[in-house]
Amino acid sequence: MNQAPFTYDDIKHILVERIGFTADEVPDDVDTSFRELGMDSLAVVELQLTLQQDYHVTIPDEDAHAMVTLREAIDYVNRQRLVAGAA
Amino acid sequence: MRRTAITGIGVVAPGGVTRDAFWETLVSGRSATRRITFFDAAEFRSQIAAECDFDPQAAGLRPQEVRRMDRYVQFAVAAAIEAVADSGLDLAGEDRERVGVALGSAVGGTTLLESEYVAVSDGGSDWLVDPDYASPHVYQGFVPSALASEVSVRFGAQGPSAVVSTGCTSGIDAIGYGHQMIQDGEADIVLSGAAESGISPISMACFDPIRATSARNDEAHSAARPFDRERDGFVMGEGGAVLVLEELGRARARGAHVYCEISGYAGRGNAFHMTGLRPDGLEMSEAILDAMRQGDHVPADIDYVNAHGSGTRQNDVHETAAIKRALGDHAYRIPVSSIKSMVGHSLGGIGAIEMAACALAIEHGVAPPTANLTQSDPECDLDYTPLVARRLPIDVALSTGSGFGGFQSAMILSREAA
Amino acid sequence: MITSVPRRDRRAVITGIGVIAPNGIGTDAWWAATTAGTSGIGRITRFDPSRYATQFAGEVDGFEAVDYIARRLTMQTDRWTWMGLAAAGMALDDASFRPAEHDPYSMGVITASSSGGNEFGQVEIQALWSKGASHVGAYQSIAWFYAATTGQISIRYGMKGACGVVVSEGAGGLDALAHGRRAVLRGVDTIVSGGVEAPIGPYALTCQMATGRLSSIAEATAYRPFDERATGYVPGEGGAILLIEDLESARRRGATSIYGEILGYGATHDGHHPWSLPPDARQLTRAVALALRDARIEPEEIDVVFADGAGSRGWDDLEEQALHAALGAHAANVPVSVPKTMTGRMYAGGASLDVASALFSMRHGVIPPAVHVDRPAAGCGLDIVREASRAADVRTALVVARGYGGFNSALVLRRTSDCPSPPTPTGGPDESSTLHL
Repeated sequence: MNQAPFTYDDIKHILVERIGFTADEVPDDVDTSFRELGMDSLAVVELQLTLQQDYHVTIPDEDAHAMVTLREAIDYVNRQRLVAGAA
Repeated sequence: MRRTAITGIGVVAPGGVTRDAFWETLVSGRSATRRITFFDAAEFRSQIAAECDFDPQAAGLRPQEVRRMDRYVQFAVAAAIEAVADSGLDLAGEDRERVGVALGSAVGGTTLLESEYVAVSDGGSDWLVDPDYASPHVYQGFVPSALASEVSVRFGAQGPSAVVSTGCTSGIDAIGYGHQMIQDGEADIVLSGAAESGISPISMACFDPIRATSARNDEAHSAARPFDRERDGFVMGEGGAVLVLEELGRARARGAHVYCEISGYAGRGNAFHMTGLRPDGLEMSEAILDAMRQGDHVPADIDYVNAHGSGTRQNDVHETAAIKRALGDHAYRIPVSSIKSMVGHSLGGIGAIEMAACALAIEHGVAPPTANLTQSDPECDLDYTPLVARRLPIDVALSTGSGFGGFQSAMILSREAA
Repeated sequence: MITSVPRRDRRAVITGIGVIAPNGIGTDAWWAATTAGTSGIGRITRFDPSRYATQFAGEVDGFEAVDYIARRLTMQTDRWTWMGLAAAGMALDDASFRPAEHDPYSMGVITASSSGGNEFGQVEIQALWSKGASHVGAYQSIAWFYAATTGQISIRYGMKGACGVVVSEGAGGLDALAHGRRAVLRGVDTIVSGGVEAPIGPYALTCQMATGRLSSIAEATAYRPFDERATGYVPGEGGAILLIEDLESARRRGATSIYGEILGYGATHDGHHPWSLPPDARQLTRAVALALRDARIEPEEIDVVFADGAGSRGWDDLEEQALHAALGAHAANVPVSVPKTMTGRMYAGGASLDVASALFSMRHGVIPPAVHVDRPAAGCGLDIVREASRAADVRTALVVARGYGGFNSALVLRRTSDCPSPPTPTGGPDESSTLHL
C-alpha cells in the first residue's frame, strides 16, 4: 500500500485544528521542540492521540516520552508507515 | 470558639464495606485492587480498579432509593446510616433544623449519566439523543447536588446542605465545609464526607491518555504502590465515607464517644497547571502550615501523616517535598502512609475515606501501612510505613490531598483535649 | 493572616462584576437590556431542537471565546469554562483589580457549579461509545468535572488562596458567594466567586427535561413565574462572576467600584423528598429569616426581593408563602422581581446573576422587571415589578434561590457608605454623596 508521506503541513494541520494554534504560531523550523512551542504535557498527548487515531500509528509509552520535536514526530510517523507498508 | 468533634464514622470501601471491615483491611495491609469486573475493560490501558462488593439492600437502602440513586449516592447514604448509628444519635429526636449536610464528589453521577447516555444516543450514534429513552431519574446523575439532597432527605436534615466538588480534594474540602458550618454556628451536627463511583468507561478512559493510572494489569493486586520506585500511577477506586461532625460542647453534654476533633483545615491552589505538579510541593506545604497554625500545632505534635500518596511519579515527589517543608526534620521521625495502596484512589471520595482512616488511627493507636512498598525511591525518603501497620500512640494525625485543578488541602485531627 | 474563625472586623464587599447573559454580554449591554425588559430567550439555535419537548432557551449569541482567551485554551475547556474565564476577566477589570500586584495567597476562587462541561463531555462520551476508548482525548480529565472553571481561573490569575466549588443546583450561586464570604472573613482578602452554566446541548437538555419542570410551551414567553399560566421554566446559559474583597483591603488599594456588602446569609434544606413539593414553606421561610438575622436587619429594611421564581404553580405558591411569612406585612409592599424571566434559569449562573441585578439596582436606583408576568396568580399578594423597570432607592436587597432536591438559600446585600451614590430616583439633582449606613 502506497501512502503519501506524513509532512510538516500535516503536523501543522493537527496543531491548528486539534491543539488550537493559529497558523502563524507554528514556526517553519521542524526542529522546534514542543516545549519551545509552549505545548504542555497534555497538548503533546493530544497530538500523539491524533497521530494514533488519524494516522494509525501506535506510540508506546517509551517512544511517547522520547518524541520531543516536530521533526521527531514527523519521522516517527513515516518510519512506522514504512514498516507497516513493508509488512 | 465552637469546636468540631467527630462522633460517628461510616465507610463503604473496597475490601470492606463497613467501618470495621475497612479498618481490618487497612490494618492487614491487604490491597483490594483487582482486574475490573464492572465492565469489559479489555481495550483500556488501565484495566484494574479497587471495586466495592457493595449490596445496597444489606446496607439499608430501600428499592426505590436503589432505583433512583446513582451508585455513589448509595455509598454516601449507606455510610451515613452507619455513621449516625455509630454516633448514638437518634436524629428523629434532635432538632433537625440544626443538622446540616456537606458532602463531596469529583465526578458526581457520571456512572448514571453514562449508562443513560448509551441508551439515549443508541450507543453514541446520535448527537441529537432521544429523550424517550431517558430514565425519569437521569437528572439525579446530571447534577451532583443529588448527593447532598438525598442524604438530607434520608435523615430529614433541614440545616444547610451542599456538595463540594473540588476534584480529588473534595473529600477533605467537604469535611472542611462542614467544620466551618459548625464553627460559624450554622449547624450543630453535620453529616459530612464524600463518595465516588468512577469505575465506568468514560471515567477510566479519561485517565488513560495522560497515563495517570497504573497499567500494571497483570499484577492487579500489587499495582497500587505509592512511594515505591516502580510506581506507575494510581489505581482507580470507588467508595465513600461519612463522618458525624458535632459541636464539641453538645457532644460532651450527651456523653457521646468522641473519636477526635478537627483542629485545623486549610486549602490552597497551586495556580500552576490543571494536572501538573511542581516538585517543590510549595502550596501543599502552605496548606499544611495553615492547618497547623489554626490548631496551634508545631511539627513535633504530628504523630502520623495520611498522605495523598496517589502513586503517580510526580505526586509522590511533590508530596514528600511538601511534608518535609512543612514539618522539617520531624517529617523523618513519624510514620507516613498512603491507604490508596489498599483501597485505590476514589477521586472525590478518597479524602473522606482517608479522614475516617485518620480518626480510626487515633482511636486505635495504629498507623495503617503503605502496601506494596517494596523498593524505596531515593526521591521519596520518608518513613512510609511499608507493608506492615504500626502500633504507636497517635494524638494528632495530618491528612493531605492534592487534585486536578491545582487544589491542595490539609486537615488535622486531634485527640480530644480538655 | 488566615484565622480559624471569622473575624467580625472584616467585611465582605463586592467590587467587580462580570456578566455573560442571554440578553447581554458584559454588564453594560446586559443591564441596558435588563432594564429595558429585553429578553434573550428564543428558540434554540445551537442544535435542532425539533425532537425535544422544550425547544426554547436563553442562549448567549455572539459569544466568541477567542475574544477572551487563547484559542489553545478553548480546545482544552468547555463553553462553560470559556464563559467563566471571560466573566472573571470582566469582573477583575470592573474592579480595577490586577492580580499580579497582589500576594497570590491573598486571592482565591470559589465558584458554583451545577452540571459542568456538558458539551465537551458529550463530544468525548460520544467518541468513546461510537469509536472506542482510545478516542477519548487528553483534555477530558480536566474539562468536564465541576472544578474545571475554578481551577482554570485560579491558574490564569495566579490565585493560590483557598479555592472551592459549591454545588446546590439553583441555590449554588448564593452558597458559593457565602462560602467566599467565609474565606474573606477568615482572612483571604479577595475571592473570585459567583458562577456560570452552559446547559444547552442535546444530552444536557434531555437530562433537564426529565424533571418535568421545564416548560414545553414553544414561545419565548414560556417562563412566567408567579403567573397563573405558569407551566415551568426555560433553561438559560451564562451567569455572573463577582469579586468579593475585604472592605479594608479594598479601601487600601484604592478601590472605587464598591457595589455593596454581603450582609447576611441563610441556607436550609427541605429534608423532605428528592423532587416533590415539601408540605409547607417552612424551610424556605427559615432561609430568609436566617439571612435577615445574620444581617441584623428587620424585614422593613428590605427594598427589593429578587425571587427564585421557579415558574411552576406549586413552587411559586410556596415562595409567595415564604415571603409573606418571613417579611410579614412588608411582603405586600416590597417590590419583587425575577429578571431570570429574560434569561431563563441558569443554575449555577442564575442566583449569581440575580446578585448582580441586586447590586446594579442599588447602584442605579432601578429595579428591573419580571417580564411576561401578565396575570399574577390570584392570592399572590406580592408587588411584582412587571411590564417595566421601576425607579427606586435600593439600599438593601434580598436574593432568594432554590435548588432542585430541596435546597433553599437567601442572601442580603447592602449598599455601604463606600458605594458610589446612585442617581436620585425622582430625577432631581443628586444632592447627597453621603449615604446612611
